[in-house]
Amino acid sequence: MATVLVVDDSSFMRMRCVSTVKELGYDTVEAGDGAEAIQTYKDQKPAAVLMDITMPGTDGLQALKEIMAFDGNARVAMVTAMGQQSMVMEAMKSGAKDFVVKPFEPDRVKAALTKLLA
Amino acid sequence: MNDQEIAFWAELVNKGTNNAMNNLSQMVGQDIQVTSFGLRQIPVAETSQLMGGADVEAIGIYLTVSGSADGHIMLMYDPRMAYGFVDLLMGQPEGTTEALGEMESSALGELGNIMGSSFLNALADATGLTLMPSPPHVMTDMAGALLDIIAADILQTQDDAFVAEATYQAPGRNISGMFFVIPTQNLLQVLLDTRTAA
Repeated sequence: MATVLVVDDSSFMRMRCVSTVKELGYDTVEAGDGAEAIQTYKDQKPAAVLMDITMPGTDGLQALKEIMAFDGNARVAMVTAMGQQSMVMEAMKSGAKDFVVKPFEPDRVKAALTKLLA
Repeated sequence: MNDQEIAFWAELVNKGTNNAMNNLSQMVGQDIQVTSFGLRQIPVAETSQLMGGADVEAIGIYLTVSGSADGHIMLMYDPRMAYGFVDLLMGQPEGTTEALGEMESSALGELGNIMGSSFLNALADATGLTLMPSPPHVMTDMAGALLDIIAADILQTQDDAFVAEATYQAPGRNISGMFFVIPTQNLLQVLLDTRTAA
């Protein structure tokens, strides 16, 4: 069974996101900031990553860049309230495959995962 | 600010507030209604009174703004109202939450993150600027002490605060909250400059 890494500094949002991902039948691992996400990715090589942007310390964009540098085939979607055009463009240029703006409907996260894991 | 600048600032705040309230409605699954909305220029020293009194106990969700310029966003709640929003967010019966544990604080922080980001997204879309929120800080204190965090910062560069404020409620649950955006003089100028540049 594929494993999805859920990265968000909010434990409340991780709980919501993990619940949606598990409903799709995937396993999950969690990280609470960018630095933890990078380490967890390197240790566990998840099939896909759902990554928040606004986090203390290493933010989601920095973590995305480091994960892509480590694994050019990483499948990462950003899941963030920061839906500004400049942010979307930077994430896509840095290798994100999708961009989900919070608050999200569970179906939107499901669609992102389906796209990532196709 | 002259009349045209005030009108432009009001238009931006209106767009931002609408976006924040729409996304709050979606997040909590209730139709959130704005019950009052206003712009004020007040001496910085008076910001501690914004919630109706400096000594009122409150729960604040605080975000700073960075990117093209700096500013402050604060959501403030009577604690019982904050607990009501936590119950909504966590799908619990009204009255379940009686204190803030780690998960309750996290839920309120995410509410602040989504409202603050939604407000800034609307301003960024309208002006072409990049305006980023910090991670939210959830704090319980006297209202004056919470608002003094903002006052202490902006007093370094200006005597007056330009306060945008909205009060909102979820009629289905009889809960309400206050949303304050206080730009630094620099942020206000950067926003107003986009009007002349357009």
